[in-house]
Amino acid sequence: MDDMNEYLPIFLQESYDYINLLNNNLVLLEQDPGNKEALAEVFRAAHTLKGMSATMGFQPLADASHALESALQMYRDSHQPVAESAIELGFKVLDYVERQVKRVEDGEVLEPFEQMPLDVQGESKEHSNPMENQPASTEFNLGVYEEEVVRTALEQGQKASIIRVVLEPGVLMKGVRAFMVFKAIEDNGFEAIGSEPDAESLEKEEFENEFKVLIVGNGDVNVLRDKILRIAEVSAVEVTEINANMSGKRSDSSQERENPIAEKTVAVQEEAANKTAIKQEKENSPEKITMEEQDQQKKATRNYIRVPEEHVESLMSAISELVLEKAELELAIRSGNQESLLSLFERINRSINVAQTEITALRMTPLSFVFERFPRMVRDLSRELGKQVRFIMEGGDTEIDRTIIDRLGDPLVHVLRNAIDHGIEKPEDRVKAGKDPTGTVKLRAYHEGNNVYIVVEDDGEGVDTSKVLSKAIEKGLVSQEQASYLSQEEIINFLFLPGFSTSTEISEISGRGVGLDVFKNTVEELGGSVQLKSVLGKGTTVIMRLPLTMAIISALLVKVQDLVFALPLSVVEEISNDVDAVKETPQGDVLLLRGELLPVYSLSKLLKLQGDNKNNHIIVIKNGQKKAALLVAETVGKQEIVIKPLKSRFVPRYVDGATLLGDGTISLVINISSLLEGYANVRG
Amino acid sequence: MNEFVVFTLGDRKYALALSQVVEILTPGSVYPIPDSEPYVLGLTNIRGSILPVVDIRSFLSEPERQTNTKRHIWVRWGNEDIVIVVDRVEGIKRVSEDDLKQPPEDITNHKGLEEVFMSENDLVVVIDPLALVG
Repeated sequence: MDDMNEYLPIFLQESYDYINLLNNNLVLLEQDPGNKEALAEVFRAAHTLKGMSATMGFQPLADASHALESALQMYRDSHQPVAESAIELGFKVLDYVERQVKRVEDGEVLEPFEQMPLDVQGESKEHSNPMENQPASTEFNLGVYEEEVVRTALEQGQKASIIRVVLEPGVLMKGVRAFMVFKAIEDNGFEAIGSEPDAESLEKEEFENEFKVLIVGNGDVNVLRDKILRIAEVSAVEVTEINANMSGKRSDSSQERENPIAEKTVAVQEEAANKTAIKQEKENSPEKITMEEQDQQKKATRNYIRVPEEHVESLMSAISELVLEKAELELAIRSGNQESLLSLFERINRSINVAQTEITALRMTPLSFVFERFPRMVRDLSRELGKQVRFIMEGGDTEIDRTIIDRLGDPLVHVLRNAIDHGIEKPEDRVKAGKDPTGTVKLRAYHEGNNVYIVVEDDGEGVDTSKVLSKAIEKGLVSQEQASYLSQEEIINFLFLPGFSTSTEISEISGRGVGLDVFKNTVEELGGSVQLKSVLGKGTTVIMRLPLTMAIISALLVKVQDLVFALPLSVVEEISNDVDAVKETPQGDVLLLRGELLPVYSLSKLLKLQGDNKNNHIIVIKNGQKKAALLVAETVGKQEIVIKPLKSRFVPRYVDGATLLGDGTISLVINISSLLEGYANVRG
Repeated sequence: MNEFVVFTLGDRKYALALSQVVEILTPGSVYPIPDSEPYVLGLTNIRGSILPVVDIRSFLSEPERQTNTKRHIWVRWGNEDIVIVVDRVEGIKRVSEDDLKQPPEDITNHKGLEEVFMSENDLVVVIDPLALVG
């Protein structure tokens, strides 16, 4: 199958999706070993992964996925809480799977899958046999997985039934009989999707003298019943059909008795031992594959931009409108009728707005895209560091531009790591401080105005600002007397300074700040800002503000020496023309604005433009928590602009991109924070 | 066979690999970028693509001079697109492998100057504009 390469990207993407899904559900299971939904989800994902891997010819991956299923099978069948050791094994297998998928991606040869030491299974045996002493009943506890399979089967017009098989008292090879029942089920157009007790217990003969099998398929149940009755030492068979509405389980089948036909064969016993092998084969049967395909179809779209139809329709109609309007425009221009030109302009404007809104919507992706890998990461990290962490995620459905999503992963990992590593204390320290030994890290996202906020909150030890301050004084960043004027917020901001935050001492004493400057820079490159709040002993909150989209922003256009620059409106607080309010001081010019003293910069000086500049306007900008006043010659107005990225070594760092204005002029989009950073000493 | 776009800067002839040249244009407006390197003339808009315009003269020790027949050459090298300003475009020249020579001693150490060839008694220097300014 050499054309499989074509499917490789989809396979990789889906595999990573399933690995995330598996990790997250294993984490859920670890927190609540009785979580049936999570267990069913693990099964579904492992099963699909197995099918995908086998189809692509990655047998070790298929084997590993199978091992994952096997490790958890008994818990699914017995409805017992999953043992910790089984989850641990699950994580190990999953790590192997992830490594191998990475190898597939890198074009490397797969490592053979070695069965993990299954002491786990030994231990889990203690939990098995839950049905052993239970009275016979036609009830069959459908797990979520079974329910789903049954529902799908019924929808496809198949039949689903529960078969209760009673063996003769004192029967010798119960396992063999059970196996023959399974074989009869498969030979007669059915598929066994679950049993009570589970397949393993049946095989090990860990049951009294009866068992139940849940089957789906197209065969004739009556024929099947007869076939089963003909198996030696089967004394009774009861078939209960499951209705489409699943609520009522019809129990109209008869109990029959038939003389046992002696047909003891040794060969059968061998076959029974190979049952798992046969089961595996069965899972590659056509019916199974259709199911896998359905699952795949559900997930496959993730690799592409999922496009809701209404957006496309709406976009299409906006474009058709524009085509009409263009034709009308031509006529209107010829006629020179001012009024119809104006009304036409209004209509065109509206159509463009619709198109713009829709095309922006198409680029939106839910944050869960990056959030998905965090539960596992948090779990592993807290274990590694000996911390107890309760991890809460909220707002994963918040949508943000794809281009931003792609670059959000690393900064978020960084902040979460900080929260666990430096924020949350060790359990014993938390108890000493009178806190819950389990710390809480909360990752929250929400949408507000044109921004998306992502907040990481921990209830750890917080930042000791006095230590940060003494470090800042020691480093000469601030003088002793200046220090006394600094607000808590300003002190915390020292942590964002390059070099300051990476120093190991500070991370030891303050419990914070590894590479915070890098984190801040990344967020700012995305057009966002970062805020850090902390209360000593109570915890730390990191707030990231990100624009919904990077492609189209609202901007304030300003003019300096005939050049027009665009300032993202998100950094503009207010505009004033009271330039006389700017006062000279020995430290540079300042603006007193409602009791707040702001540093004043002249845009033309920041940009090192030569020549005379008469500044007529003051723009108050907010750069993170810092405010400043920017003097410009002229403000042109507010406008929606389409940013074209300008990644070139020939373009200075303060340029975030460029935009084309209505008259074809190129305007530079200014990144205020990097502009101020490089020129902190140039005062206007 | 190697194909080159031959152009002039001042009195000398230079060449770019044809594969690197996207388009030869009559210059449009160039908007300056404040606080950029002196050889970066600014940005120009070519049908919606905004590209930096670079003057490679200073790297070739060519004096600046006024000519009216300037051309812009849109050059693509890997992912990087720039526009360079030249005086005149001579045309496309095919040169066989054998006719390509190492540059003379005095310019061999100069990065961005790849090879030379003779064209109608003129020495033509093949340049790699990005290596030249980088």
